[in-house]
Amino acid sequence: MSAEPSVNLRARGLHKRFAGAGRGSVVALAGVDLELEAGRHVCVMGHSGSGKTTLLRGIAGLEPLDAGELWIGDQRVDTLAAAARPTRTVFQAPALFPHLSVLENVTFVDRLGRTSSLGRSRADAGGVTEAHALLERLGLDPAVFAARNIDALSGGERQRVALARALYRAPPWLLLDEPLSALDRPRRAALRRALAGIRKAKGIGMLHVTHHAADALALADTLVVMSRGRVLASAAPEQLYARPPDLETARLLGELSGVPDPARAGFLRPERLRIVAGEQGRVRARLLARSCVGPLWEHELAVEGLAAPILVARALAWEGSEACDLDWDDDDVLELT
Amino acid sequence: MSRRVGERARGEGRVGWGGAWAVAQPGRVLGVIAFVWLTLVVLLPLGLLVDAAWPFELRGVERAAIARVLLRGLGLSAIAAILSGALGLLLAQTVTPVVLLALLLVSRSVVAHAVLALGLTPGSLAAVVTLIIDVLPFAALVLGLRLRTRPLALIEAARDLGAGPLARAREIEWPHLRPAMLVACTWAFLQGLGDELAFEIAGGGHAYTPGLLIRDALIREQAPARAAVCVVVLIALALPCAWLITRELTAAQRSDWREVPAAPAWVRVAGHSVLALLLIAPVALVVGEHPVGLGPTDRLLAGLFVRSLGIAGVVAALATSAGFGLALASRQVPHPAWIGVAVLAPLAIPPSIHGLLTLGAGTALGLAPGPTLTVVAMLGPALALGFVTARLMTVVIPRALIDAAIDLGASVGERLRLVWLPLARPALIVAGVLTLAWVLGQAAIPAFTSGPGGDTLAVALTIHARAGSIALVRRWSLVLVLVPVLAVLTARALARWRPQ
Repeated sequence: MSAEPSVNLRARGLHKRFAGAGRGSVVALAGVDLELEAGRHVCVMGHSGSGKTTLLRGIAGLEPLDAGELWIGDQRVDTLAAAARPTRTVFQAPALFPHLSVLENVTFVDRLGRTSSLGRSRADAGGVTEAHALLERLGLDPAVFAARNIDALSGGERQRVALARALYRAPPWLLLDEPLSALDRPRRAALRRALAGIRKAKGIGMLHVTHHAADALALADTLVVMSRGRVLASAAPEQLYARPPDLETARLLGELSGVPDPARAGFLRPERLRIVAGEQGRVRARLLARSCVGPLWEHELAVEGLAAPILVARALAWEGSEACDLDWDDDDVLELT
Repeated sequence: MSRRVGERARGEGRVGWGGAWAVAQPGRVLGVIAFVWLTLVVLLPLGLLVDAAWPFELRGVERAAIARVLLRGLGLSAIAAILSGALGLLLAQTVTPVVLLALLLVSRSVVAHAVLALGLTPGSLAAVVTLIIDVLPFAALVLGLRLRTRPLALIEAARDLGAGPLARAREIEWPHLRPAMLVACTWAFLQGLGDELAFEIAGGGHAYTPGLLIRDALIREQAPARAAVCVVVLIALALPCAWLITRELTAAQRSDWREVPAAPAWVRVAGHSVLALLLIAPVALVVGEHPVGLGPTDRLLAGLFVRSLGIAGVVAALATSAGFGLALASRQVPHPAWIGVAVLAPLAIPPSIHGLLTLGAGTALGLAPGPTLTVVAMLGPALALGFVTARLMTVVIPRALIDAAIDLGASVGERLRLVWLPLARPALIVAGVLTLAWVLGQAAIPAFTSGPGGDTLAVALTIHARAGSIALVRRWSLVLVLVPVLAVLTARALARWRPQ
């Protein structure tokens, strides 16, 4: 079933406080407001303990919120039981039913007697075909995996089955709690593409919690950055990467170097700095180390008058002299606090 | 802005007024149920006893005798409890649950006679050995359940960090095993404290214990004050034990269900030696003299067997389902230890005293002796047994699976039918068979509650044993032992069967 195109997700003033040790308490959500357009892929990033998972569980109804309102389309959902909410969650740990096969896990909703607020119906002949197609799209050959027991799956395979289960007869919004974290790099990239394809085809909105900037930058239409239970920033990921509103957001999305000029404050993305031959740049530097980090080479340089080394990323390793210069464009300097 | 958004929504929302209150206040509902249960099973009988004993006039010599008996009972029971825990651990790693269940059904009087037949002089040692042999199968079953859920990931991580066997045992294995060890030892302790059979037959009257004192005070000497003091002391000792057990069960870590790990050679040798000790009584049942052909008494006992099976089936079904339901529900309440105390409290009272008190309470409530009163009397301890077993085994069902089912839209009934029941099937089977075995073999309670003509097979066998019809007792004791074995084998086959 394709989701309705106009089911925006709106959150107003979500609050959640957990009782801590003794009389203390921990604020997990401190008034979160969100306005998410239907069918978009929204990534949520933040340090550990910033409230990302609590936000997801609160929206799913699995964690009672202290205050706030949640709307999906015209329907207020915070008053609904978790089972009746038009959302589906993919948990960090796959949480598959061990007594059911892969296919039975994927089509679990067909075993439920009632129809939910999504108006989905009981199992029909097309159900198995849809489940097989989903498994195939997520890289699991149904001929091999459909009848397989959950115990006979690897961690990555389990996570893909959990994704297929969430996508089967999908509701308007999918809540993803780091679903790609258990996967190896090539599988991760393949699954990112598959997720993007499925989202487009089905028109499902996805609210995706992740620690990986690469996932967020590759998948998200909108990136929400959280810190200490609040939304720090919300915008297109490329915009937040290039012009982050604050230092915390900037650091979450990628490496930063201080401007290698003792006379000037600010930061630069490592790929915005250039290593040039001596006497051709703006400051003198000395190469300390270089290492290959996948598609880029990361260089560590010392600049006279600066305690911290400067990071520079470039497509090719610097093969010139250790004594070199650094150059940059003033437009690339990020004035962050 | 809504207050406590989603809290009510975690329940099922659109239910009736009573149902809505139950969903919103699960702790209070459970609290009320536990209080009513405690009142019916413990407080009402105890109240009747205290009423009969009022105004508690005890002579100095009586007080001294009670203190001496209690101290002796405490000491001997503590020794039996510690040894049962240690030997039970060896046994749990060596012997399969089917064998343990069969051994569980060998009645204490049969064990006591077998111990004396070994050549032990009647006295404290023979009584303690009898007690240990009697409670060991249960201790090993409980410990075996826990051994199946060892936190392997933690153990591997500790080994990887360089922790040796001792450090791993201290930091991981023991904290994991502790709840089951506590259950096993406390069970043995309470059984010893309230025992009459072992100390009467194997003790030979040389060791007068609280169980014997209560029995004599109530039945032979009409001294309810003496009995009331002892019963109150036993309950006062048992309630903290029950609270400790429940607290440990609550804190028990979740883990996956696996086979009991292969034990080292020395553990296997030690475990088999303990098994050899346990096999004395059943071997005596098999190799001793058996009657030839079927007589009129056999037909009478066959009728009692069918009735006993019916009573045991009803008690096992009720106790297992209620114990399981309470074990599940108590995971949702803020102070589950108090629910556990209410459910486990009946274990504090020796079975025969429990039977006698229930007879009094039943009469006061207009319930005549018969099968119904026997079922009610057996339900108290049986529910405790079902609750502990379910509690030990349902901790392996992770909360994340239930959250996943809720998230996929499953209602309470669907979660029960599609997730809880299939995953908890092993727990239900074990709890059911364990309770069935215990009820079938229980003679002390129905001796008071079954009434004239309403005996169970276990009661009849005790009467025949006293009358010296040992051959007949052997034959029918074997039948009793075979029932849970067959039940386990059938349950195993059922557990493997899956509808296509």
